[in-house]
Amino acid sequence: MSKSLLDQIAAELQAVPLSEADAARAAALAGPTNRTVREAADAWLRFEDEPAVYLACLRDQADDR
Amino acid sequence: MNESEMMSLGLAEAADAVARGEVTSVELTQAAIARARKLGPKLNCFAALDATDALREAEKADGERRDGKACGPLHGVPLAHKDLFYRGGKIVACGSKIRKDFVPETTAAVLERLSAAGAVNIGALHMAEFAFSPTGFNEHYGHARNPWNPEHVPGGSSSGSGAAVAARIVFGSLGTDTGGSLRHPASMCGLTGLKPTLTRVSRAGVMPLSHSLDCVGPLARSARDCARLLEVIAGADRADATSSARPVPHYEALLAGGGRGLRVGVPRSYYYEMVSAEIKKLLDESLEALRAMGARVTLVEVPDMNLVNSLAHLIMSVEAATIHRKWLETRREDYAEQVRSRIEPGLLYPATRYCEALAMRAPITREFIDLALKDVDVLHLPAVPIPVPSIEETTRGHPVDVARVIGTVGHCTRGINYLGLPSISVPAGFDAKGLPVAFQLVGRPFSEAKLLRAAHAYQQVTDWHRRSPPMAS
Repeated sequence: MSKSLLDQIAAELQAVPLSEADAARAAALAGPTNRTVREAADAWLRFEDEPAVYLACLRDQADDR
Repeated sequence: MNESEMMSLGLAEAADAVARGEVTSVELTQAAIARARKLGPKLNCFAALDATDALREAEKADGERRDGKACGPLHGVPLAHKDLFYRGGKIVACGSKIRKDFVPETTAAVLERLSAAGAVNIGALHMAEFAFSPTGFNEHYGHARNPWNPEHVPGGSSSGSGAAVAARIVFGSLGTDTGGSLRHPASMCGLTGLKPTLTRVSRAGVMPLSHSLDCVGPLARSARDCARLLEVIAGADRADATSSARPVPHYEALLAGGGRGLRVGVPRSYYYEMVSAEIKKLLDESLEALRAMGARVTLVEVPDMNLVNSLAHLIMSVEAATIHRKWLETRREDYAEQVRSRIEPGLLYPATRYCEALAMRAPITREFIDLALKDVDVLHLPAVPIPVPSIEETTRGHPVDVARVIGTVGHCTRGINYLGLPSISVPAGFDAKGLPVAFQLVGRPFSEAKLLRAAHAYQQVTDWHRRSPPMAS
């Protein structure tokens, strides 16, 4: 199997010894989620949205009644 | 009081009986240990039983009471917890082969708080490997079993907690919930289980699965028992910088008030897609009971929960893969394949996607609250949409069928962890095979008092939570 440069970089970053079958299974699970989340991010995210805002959101939306 | 009478008490009743001198902590603890020895092996629910330490703690508790020292709200009550809460000097294996000899130096903040409130610890409870299964699957040490029918799963990942509390071995237990791991065993074992708002309870000294989603919470027989446990464990903790500084309400004192005027929302979409007919019937009956109490039930919209589930899945697998990467490199054969296959996709997501999933959390949570919770106090949802599966259905057969059953178990729970909202699982009856069924109530952030009050009101007019499995009688 020929490897693209990106494949090699990924293997360098994650030295987990995945067999072809393991990699294929993981990719089959990750692929659809990756696409779903990317499409949602394209539709949803604004420049000012950032992960740190979330805890403030919990406080702002708290039940105080 | 004989053993059966003692162990049929609820947690709050047992603590109050100790405080009044009607029963001693030693008597309760001896009864718990006897039941652990008798029923524990049948249910495979204990990772370790610490009888000697437990009896020493119980004798100390009784001595303090005799000496007139102030008793905490859990004084002398025997408990046991999921085997991922660190206890200095004791092995904490997390249901895994990899940590089978791990002895932490520190003790989890929540265990310290339980001890300070007077609780007695009798041991550590079995769990799914590294908390990775909604059914309680554990290839290394065997699966824990459901006390209502040992051929069926108890739910996971806090599987031993569900089995031990339902079998009346202990009065309550702490577990963790990353995608339903408290609510699944609560639902499948006929217990009440509360996943608090993210940050409500310290996670210091708890083996993480996914730090953005993990919550610590109580599993017990009733909303009252959960209220007492939550009041002890909730609140700011210097060792967990994410823990909320919001004051902790007196949850148990706020239980009164009934259900009159409670506004209950039932989602129009998503949640009932996979619900079996017999479970739907019991859920409808629980809504009728809420209406009869004076609650107002209305239909509400929810956002795209399939997207929310994808976001939860991405975050969980990336964070889990980060925690486990080194072991995946060096000890991959020490993971069960079912567990490893759930972690490995996390190695493949780009960092940008992970950040996007976290960045969408605030706007999507706001949208969920605006759509689903704007005009209601609580949402009423199925807890587990299918009858409790057998161990066979979740371990053998075609992998696609097994994956489908496992995926369905978490259909109604995992998205709530992405949103960080509190949720309580409440027993609502039994299916045709005699296995428990439950609904969950979900509320706004930090609305635990409201959820507990609603569940308590329901439990005043129903007795599902009082039923015990034949093997425990």
